[in-house]
Amino acid sequence: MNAIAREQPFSPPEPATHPDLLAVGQPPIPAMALRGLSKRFGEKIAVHEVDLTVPVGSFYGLVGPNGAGKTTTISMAVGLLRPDTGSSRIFGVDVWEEPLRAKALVGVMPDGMVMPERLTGRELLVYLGQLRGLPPDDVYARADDLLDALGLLGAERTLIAEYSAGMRKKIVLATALLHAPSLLILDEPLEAVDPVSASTIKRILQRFVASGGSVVLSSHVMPLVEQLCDHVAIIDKGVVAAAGRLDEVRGGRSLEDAFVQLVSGGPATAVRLAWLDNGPQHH
Amino acid sequence: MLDTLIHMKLAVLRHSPRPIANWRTAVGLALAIITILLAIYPTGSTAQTGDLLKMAIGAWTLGWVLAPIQTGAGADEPIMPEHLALLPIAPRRLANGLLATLFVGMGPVITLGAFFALPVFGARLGPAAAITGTLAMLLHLALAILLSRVVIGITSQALASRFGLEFAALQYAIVISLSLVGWVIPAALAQDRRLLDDPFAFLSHGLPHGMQVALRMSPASWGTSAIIAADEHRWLAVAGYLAGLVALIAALVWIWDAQVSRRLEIRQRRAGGRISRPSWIQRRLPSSPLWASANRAMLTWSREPRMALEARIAVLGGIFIVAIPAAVNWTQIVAWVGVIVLILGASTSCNLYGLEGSAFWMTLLTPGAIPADVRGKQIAYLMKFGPVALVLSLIATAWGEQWWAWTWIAAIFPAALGAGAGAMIVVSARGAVPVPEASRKSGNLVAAADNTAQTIITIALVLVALLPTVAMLYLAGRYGWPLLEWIAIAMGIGSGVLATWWGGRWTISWLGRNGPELLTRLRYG
Repeated sequence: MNAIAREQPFSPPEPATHPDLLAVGQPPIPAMALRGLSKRFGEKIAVHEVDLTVPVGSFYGLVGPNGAGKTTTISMAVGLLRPDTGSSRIFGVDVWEEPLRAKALVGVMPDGMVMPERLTGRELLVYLGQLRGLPPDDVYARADDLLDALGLLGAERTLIAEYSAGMRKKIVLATALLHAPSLLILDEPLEAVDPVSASTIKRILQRFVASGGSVVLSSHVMPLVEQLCDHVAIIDKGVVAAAGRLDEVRGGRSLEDAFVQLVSGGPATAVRLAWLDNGPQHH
Repeated sequence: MLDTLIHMKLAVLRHSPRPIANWRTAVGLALAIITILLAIYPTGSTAQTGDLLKMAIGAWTLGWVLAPIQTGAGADEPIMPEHLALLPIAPRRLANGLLATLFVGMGPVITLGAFFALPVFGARLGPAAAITGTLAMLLHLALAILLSRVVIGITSQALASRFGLEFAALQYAIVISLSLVGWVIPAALAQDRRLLDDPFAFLSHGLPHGMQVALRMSPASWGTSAIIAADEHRWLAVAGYLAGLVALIAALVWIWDAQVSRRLEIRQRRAGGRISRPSWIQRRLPSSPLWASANRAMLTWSREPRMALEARIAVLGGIFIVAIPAAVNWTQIVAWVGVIVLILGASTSCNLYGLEGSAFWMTLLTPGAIPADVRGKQIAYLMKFGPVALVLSLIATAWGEQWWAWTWIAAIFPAALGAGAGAMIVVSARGAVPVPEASRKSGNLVAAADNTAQTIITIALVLVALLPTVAMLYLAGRYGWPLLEWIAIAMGIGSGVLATWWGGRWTISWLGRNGPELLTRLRYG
């Protein structure tokens, strides 16, 4: 079945509205607020004093070169990695003081985490749904919807161990959407995903934001961030190099140019690999 | 939550590549039946039957602790804390839920069957003893399984540091050698030659006093002791023994909770192991495909925490197996230390391709790399265990003044070394068992595949390869012909070279034909 040709596009579960958001006359509580987050691994400072504010309803892009500290920041933000200093709040709930309340509000797609390899995709979704305490009927219906929307129904009887890289990404995304979170935090969500599925995922995320949800997404792919996000933060060497509304950060240039300028201090220089210059060599 | 986790575990077991009714189950069931038979074996007294049961329960418990490291059995974790880290469930609640899943599986069922010997033993004595036996059965099952998991957790944590690795290896080596030859200590202390001459004499005569005392102190015996106390109406003692078991279990649950909570957070991205510099010799090896692959295999041996641990256990275990009897003046086997190290070394090196995992694609895609890879792994094995085993043999024979052993060692040592290098590479390729890959590893660095069968086959192959040489030595001794001794030495060296060469050749040709299939197996399990 072709995901694009479907007449009824998949609609993710409606984001739950957090009670604190209903307070009237208060300054709006951000979907996610990181304050002074720092982490050091031995000698190496992975993340240094990161401040980020993700407004409710925003589609927030997190970009940065390899090893810049994006995954470390996200891990600390969602309660997987304990920060040395600083705090992370999700809708005002401190992730490290009230982890259970915070984890209920957020759907996370981590990068490079282990999975129970010997379950099928549907089994994983059903068990995780049950563990989250969803009503039994909802669990099965949502698992089916998600597998269908992400094009995984054909792989019903396939173990996660046998999934391709792209399929693994998709099943992790499904686990993040399962409980209708208010905030989605996605680490490299479209890496290795085929164009058809990528387009489906993009539409799911856009609908999620349109219906009041908030998304934080990390990526190296600048056009993707420009296409989807309304806010962006550039992280380099563990610190926030720039953050704000997309147009402010790129300042009239393409995001890629702004990024290269900020990260390397100038346009990319040509690199030569001398032994490749003479064309293929047959041994 | 509990039933979901148990369903989850059952689903994983259902998808296991192995059928549930495999030879492991059969062997386990047979051992369980033997254990139950011990409870009704007609010994002279209740106390003697009790001693048998104490030893049997101790052996099962020890098996649960040692098997994950020795053979990989029970070291895997179908459901890891890491899988559930994002759920809004309190760590302690999750830990207790995961605890319940530990009791789901064939291993616990078979062990429960074996421990059924306790109520059987109790039923022979009376109703109170039978009830005590039933309680003891459940407590001992909980103790064995929890101890196993907690030890895996502690070892895994230890492997992250150099000191921890050495310390864990030392401990495992001591426990393994004690379980194999520890019985000589009380036997020697009691001046009781019967046990040394006929290890099965205890079936008819009972255990020597020293060993009884040692047994009584071990928690593995408390359930049996409680049953005997119930039979004698010593209720305080019954309560004491059972409370002791409950206290131990509570302590283990406490540690388990802490271990699970710890793993719900990412501590530091580390694969365990250290970046050791190549040794002086390694830096001077010639530059060629063969030596590159030998070098790579040697680096893996020092950096992959599980391989480093197993190699150390082989060497230290060999030393302790001869040193413990020697400490009580029973020095007959001292000269064999080198050969024992070689056999243990081969048995811990029989899953090299499994440990390499899907990284095998690099060998598969590089033209002509398979022969270099196979021979390189063999060279690495010879260099890892050969010199250290040889030095140990020389020191031990000199220390024990066992000059007679020179001929035997000159013949058997090369035979064992070569047979090991041949057998381990054949089994590594043909019987490769995929292990969790480093990039997908969780907080459990010990996680491994169950290669019990492969371990046993490797040891058997090495022993079979030694047979001709041993037979020739026996004839030489029997008829006193020096010429036969020389022939035996030549046979030992010749069979060693032949085994290494042939094992490598067979593996090269097998990998040439089945490389892609092996890669598929390593990748998808």
